[in-house]
Amino acid sequence: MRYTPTQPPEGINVTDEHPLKSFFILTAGTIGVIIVVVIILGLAADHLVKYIPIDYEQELFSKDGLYIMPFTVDESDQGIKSLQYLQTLVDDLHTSAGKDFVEHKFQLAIANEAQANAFAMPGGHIVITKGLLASVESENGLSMILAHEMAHHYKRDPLRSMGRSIVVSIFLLAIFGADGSNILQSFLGNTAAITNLSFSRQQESDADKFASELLVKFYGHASGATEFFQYIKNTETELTEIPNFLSTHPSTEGRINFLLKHEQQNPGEKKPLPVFLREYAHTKSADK
Amino acid sequence: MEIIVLVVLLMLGYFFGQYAEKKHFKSIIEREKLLLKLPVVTMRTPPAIHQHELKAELVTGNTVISIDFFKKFVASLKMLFGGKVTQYESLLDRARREALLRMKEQAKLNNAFVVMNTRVETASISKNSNQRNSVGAVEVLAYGTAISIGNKLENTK
Amino acid sequence: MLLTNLEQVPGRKIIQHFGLVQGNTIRAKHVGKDFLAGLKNIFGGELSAYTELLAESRKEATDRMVQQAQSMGANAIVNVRYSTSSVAQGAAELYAYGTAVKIDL
Repeated sequence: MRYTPTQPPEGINVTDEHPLKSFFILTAGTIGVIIVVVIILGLAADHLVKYIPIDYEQELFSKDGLYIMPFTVDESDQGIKSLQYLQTLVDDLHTSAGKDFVEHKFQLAIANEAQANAFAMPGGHIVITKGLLASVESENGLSMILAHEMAHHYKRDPLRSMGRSIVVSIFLLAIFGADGSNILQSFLGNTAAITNLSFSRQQESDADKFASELLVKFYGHASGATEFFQYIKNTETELTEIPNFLSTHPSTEGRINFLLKHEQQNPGEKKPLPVFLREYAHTKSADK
Repeated sequence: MEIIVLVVLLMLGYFFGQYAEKKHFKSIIEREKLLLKLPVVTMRTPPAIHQHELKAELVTGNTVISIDFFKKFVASLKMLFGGKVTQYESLLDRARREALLRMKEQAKLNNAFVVMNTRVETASISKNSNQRNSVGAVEVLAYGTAISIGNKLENTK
Repeated sequence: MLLTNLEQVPGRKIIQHFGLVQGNTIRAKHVGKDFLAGLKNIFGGELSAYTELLAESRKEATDRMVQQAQSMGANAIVNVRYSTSSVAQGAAELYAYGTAVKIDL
């Protein structure tokens, strides 16, 4: 047998294509698929929320149910008095919101935190931090925030965003199974989360709009609507600012501009905050 | 933040990986040309050469080659959709040819004229062997029997 | 000791065989090397530390197989085969086996 030295040509076992080509196709494809799936699943979750009766939600997330207050609460006399004041304010605002939302009930709580923030949690819960009480100048400014959180409840946003995140986690779990974390998983997880953020920003803008309209209904004008956002803008530094598409909230600048217009169209006299609330707001909080 | 890390890793993987691969293929092709005269076969029966004593010796060559981050990332995306994962092709091709070359180089040192019954073994080396999508690196072992010509036989028929 | 993965030794006659002989080692990678390998996982390329480690371990497995054969009084091992399997996280088993035989020299 004679041996003839021959070299097989290159490119038979290795596909000759530019590696970047498949990279772009695959990344774009994956991101596209995830965005579409998350949007569809999100809409489905939104739709399902409509079928959950409000009183069932309130029972499920009652203090004996699934609701857990994530902050410490101040139980001093001053704290209880301030809470009662807030509760009355919310109930009054609720009355002027109209007949469409009669079924809703609200449960207020003051978190003993210095950072100014407010949360709407499933089951009609609204949590206001002590820092927020100190950040507004008038009752109108405070009502704006309360109305904003109420608007979230009227639109059932807490339940909707909960539904969304559950649906998205189930979707990611279906792809990967329950096994450990890897870079791909976090990549896909981030894509899904960013897609959901755009919904979140939409919800915030809607709530702002609703809240400023409620202010007009309640006080006859929209003065004070921008108070809290002005405060946020003044405390925001360049370092703490996050790019818009990565944020749960629209940019503070944009919100102020929107609300300012509304304020100017509906001018009026602001109502001051009660003295005890101001005093209480400036007492020390649990955290430094 | 995570996105920036991912992009940096992808870029590092792409540029270094492509560079290393090109360089490696170039060296493989060059060395293959040099060793082309030495046949490597999978046959098991030694040639019948009666005038000389034949010497047999086991020769081996192995290499561990790692995939770069870029290809691994693209491959893991591809694994979501299924289909031909071309990203790993070059890795395995490089590793097999390198291992075979090392085996041939060893055979050449023994003055072999043929390597018989060549076998190629592939094993995946990864940090977590039980995690899926985790082909980090492959080891290829090539081995065979190098046949060389020994002393001239006295009692030639 | 003559090793081959052919079924016979070319030009020699097998006069006696002793059955299967085998040798194995299980090696774990060490942290320092593993760290460098982690870096290489980003850039791609040969992990020479692993190549050497595995070659060394395989040689040890072969030596053990040879020891077995020597103790049996064999002077060659034919039809040698290698196999690699990962038995646990970060550890690999290298296994060599063949048939110990006596050839006339």
